[in-house]
Order: sequence, then structure tokens, then C-alpha cells
Amino acid sequence: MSASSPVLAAAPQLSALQSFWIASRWHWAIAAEILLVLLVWQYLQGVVEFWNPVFMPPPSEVWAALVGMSESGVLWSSAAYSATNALIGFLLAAILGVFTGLLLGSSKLFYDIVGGPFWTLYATPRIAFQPLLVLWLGFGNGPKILIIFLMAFFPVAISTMDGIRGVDPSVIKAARVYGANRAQIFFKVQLWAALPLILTGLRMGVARSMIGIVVGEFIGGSEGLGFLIRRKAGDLDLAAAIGITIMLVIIALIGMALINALRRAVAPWYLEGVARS
Amino acid sequence: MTTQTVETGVIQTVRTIRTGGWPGLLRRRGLIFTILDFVVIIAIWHIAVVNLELVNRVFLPAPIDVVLGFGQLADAGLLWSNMAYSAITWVIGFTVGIIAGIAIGLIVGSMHVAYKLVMPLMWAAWATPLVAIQPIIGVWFGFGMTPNIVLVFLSTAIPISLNTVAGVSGVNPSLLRAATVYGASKWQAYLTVRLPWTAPYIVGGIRLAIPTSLIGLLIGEMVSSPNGMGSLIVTSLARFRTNQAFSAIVFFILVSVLLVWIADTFEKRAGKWREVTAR
Repeated sequence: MSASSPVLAAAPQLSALQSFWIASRWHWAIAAEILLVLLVWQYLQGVVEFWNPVFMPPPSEVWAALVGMSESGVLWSSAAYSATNALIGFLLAAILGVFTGLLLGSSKLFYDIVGGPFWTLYATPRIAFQPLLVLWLGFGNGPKILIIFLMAFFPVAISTMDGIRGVDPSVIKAARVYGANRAQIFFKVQLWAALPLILTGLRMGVARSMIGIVVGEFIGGSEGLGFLIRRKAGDLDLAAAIGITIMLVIIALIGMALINALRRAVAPWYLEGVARS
Repeated sequence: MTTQTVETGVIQTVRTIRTGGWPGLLRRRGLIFTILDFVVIIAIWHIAVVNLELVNRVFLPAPIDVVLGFGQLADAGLLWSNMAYSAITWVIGFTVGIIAGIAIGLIVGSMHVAYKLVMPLMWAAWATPLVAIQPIIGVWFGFGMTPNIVLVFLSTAIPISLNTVAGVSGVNPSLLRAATVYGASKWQAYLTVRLPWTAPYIVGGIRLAIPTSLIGLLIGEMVSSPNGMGSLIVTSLARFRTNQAFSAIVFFILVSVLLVWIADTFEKRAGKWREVTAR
């Protein structure tokens, strides 16, 4: 967008409505775009039956399936089950991940000792362990929580490590000049400077734990949203399966937005997405 | 930190360039500790299972059982056939995914309107736990290789296209201006400035897509496939041949670590020149 001088000169004369339009026009365009897609999808399948609606049910049926599951209570009990597992697994990953990241980032010795197994496990597609976790921990919540933990732990730990390492050395030097001791430097300087990246890691952890939820319930699961997707798809009730998937996406987006909001609140100075060279 | 860009994916790209995990460990002390780590882990594992008999070997096979498991799988002809099956699935999905991802990324990143309209949807796609749509893809494409190819394709194309967009749309404007000053046409500026600038991002996206595509592959095969490494792991466990499942998992891990390592090395090469120019 060109912010050339004529535009700047005209700026004061804009009415509130006009400036609102300029600020939000792309949001409207995107909303219109989504609406258009939904309409075409609905029309091609619900009205014309362009292809078999069993395989790709129209939006109205997806919505109806969601409402039906919501009324029968399946949706909410499944969501509660998945959410409980996810919350426990994610909190464990957040606490241990930040702790591990702090150690990895601040101690060279610790990094050298733990680094090998850590990066190996990081490069591993950890969902390969899921059948084993089921063998070890049974069909209860255990393997689900553990796989969510394993998925979310690494992004949190790595971002925290990066954050600690990326602290500007001159800031630490300045703190030292003002007489801060090691603990003070750590808690008052390094931790705060690393905070935005820690929160970025947590946001990534939210996205990863969604994978954990689904995988945990696909393999050896009998409850929850992931299990419900699989069962409904098995029953060829794709409207329900698609509806739950969309719900999962929305939950993931809300989770990430919450962490973004948290970051804006605690670290408003941090600008993400800006090229810094 | 050279270029800190938008989201998860690109941040990871930057990280691998900067810290690189393994290369940092290959200094002497780190290397010694790493070797020591694995020796100690395997020794404890062996003692706990074989000497102390803390756990039933059906649940946790001894390290030696896992090694023997390789032989059993190879003798039964299961290892190579399943590996080949998985490899074919992955290579097809990954290659098509790279091509599609780059194409989509270049289009979306170069056109302002497309960027504004499509990017939110692409972020939503990235936020989608792709494994969740596996059952739906299964209904569409049947029981066999195709749904897994589709899953690998999707989990490859999405991160690559996002990274490509981040590259194309984030070109340093002064470089473009310099090209224009030297008389480059729009097309020439695109080919000689934008594309080279984007190349490391594309490589970074490919690096990022390796683990995500392997997750897609494995899930597809574990949940519904008659063949492949994921299926081998699940069926071995169902028959309580835990050691063979371990062997299959270890084999899969080795292959994926190798792939990531190759991509890491490649990525560092591709990003090197920009590290210099960005300063």
C-alpha cells in the first residue's frame, strides 16, 4: 500500500465511516470470500447435487450434524474429555518445557550433556510411540496426556532456549554494571527478554497438542473429539466428521489467539513479523 | 537473528540456521557427552530389563531383542517391503507437495490481492491438525496408498507455501529499487531479485515439511493402511512382538533423522549468502 503524500494530505478529511472502511475492508473481503465459498459449496451439493453429497455434504448438513450432536450431548462430553487431557498435557509441557529451555539456554554444560538425546527425540516423529504408549499405559487417559505432552514439549523448550540465548548481551552487561547478581540478571533481565519467544513457543505448543489430541484418540481411544471424528467417518457420516474437524480448528485458533493476547499484554514491546536486520 | 518472520514455521527455519541443534553438539565436549548419553541409556535399559528383570520383556524388550528384531523383520521380508511402500508413498506426496507449495506460495506472495484474501485461509490450514482429516480423506480415497499420499501432500504443501509467501512478500525493498535503478524490467527484477531472495525460504519450508509430512505418513499408515512402516508398527504390537515394533520404530526414526539432517545441511548452504547480505 502506498502511503504517498496525497493520501496523507487527505487523511484528516476522512469521516469516521471512511476510515473504518479503509481499516477493515480486507476483513470484509475475506468474510465475503468465505461466504461465497460456502454458498457455492451449498448450491453445488445441496441444490444441484453436483457430486454425491455423502462424500462431501453441504454446509447446511454439517451445521445440522453439529447441532444434532450438541443436542444429544455427545459433542460436549467428547469436547470435555479431549479438553481435560489437552489441558493437563499442555500445562505439563509448558512447565517442564520452559524449565528445560531455561537450563538448555543458560548452561552450556547442561546443553552438551542433554543435547544429544534432546535433539534426537525432537527429530523423531514422536507419534510413532503412540501404539507403544497404549501398550504401556492402557486405554485410559494416560497415553493421551503423554502424547500431548510429547508433542507440545519440544517447541516450548526450544523457543525458551532460543529466547534465553538471544538476549542482547549489552543489556546483561548493563545490569551487571548496575550491580545485579546472577540470580537477579536471570529473573529480572533474561527471563523477561525471553518472554515473547517463550510465548511464541507456547503458541506453537497449542498447535502441536491438537495433533496429540487427535493421534491419542485415533489409536487406542474410545472417547473424545478425535475418536468421534474417526467413528463418524467410519459410519460415513461425513457431515459430522467435517463439523468436528472445523471445531477443532476453531479451538486451536482460539487457543493461539489467547496466547497472542497474553503476549501483547505482558510483552507489548515485542513486534512479531517485522523484519529486523 | 537475521529475519524474524511471522509464524511458527518461519521461526523454526530461522532457528535451524542459527543454532542448528546437532552441529553445535559436534564440538568435542558435546560429542563425547552425546555418545556417553546413549551408552548410559542403553546400559541402564539393558540392566533393568535383562539383569534386574524389572519389566516383562513383552512390554519392554531388551536392547539386544530390538537388534534381533531387525533380523527377524528382515528375514520375514517385512522390513524392506514396508519401507519401500512407505518410501514410495512419501516420495510421491512430498514431490507433488513441493511443486504445489512453491507454485501457490509464489502466486499468493507476489499478488497483493491474493495475499490479502488467501493468507488467512492458509494460516487456518496450518493451524488445522491435518491428522484429524485422515478419516475423511480415507472415505474419499479409499483404503490403500492414495489417502496417505494425499495426507503427505497436504502436510508438505502447506508449510512450503507459507514459507514461500514469507520469502516473496518480504523482499528487502531497497534491493528491488536498486534493480530498477539499474534498468531491470519488472520481470527481470522478479527473476533476479525476488526469486533468489525466496530460495532459502523455500529450502527452509522443505526442511520444515519433512517432519510434518512424516507425521502425516505415519498416522495414515497406522490408522488405515495394509502396508507401510506405520502399519508394521501397529501389527507387530497387536501380535505382541514388541521387539519388532521397536525395531520398526527405531528404523523409521533413523531414516527421518537422516532426512532432517540432510535438509538441515542443505538449508544452511542455501541460507548462507543471505546471512552475509542481511547484515
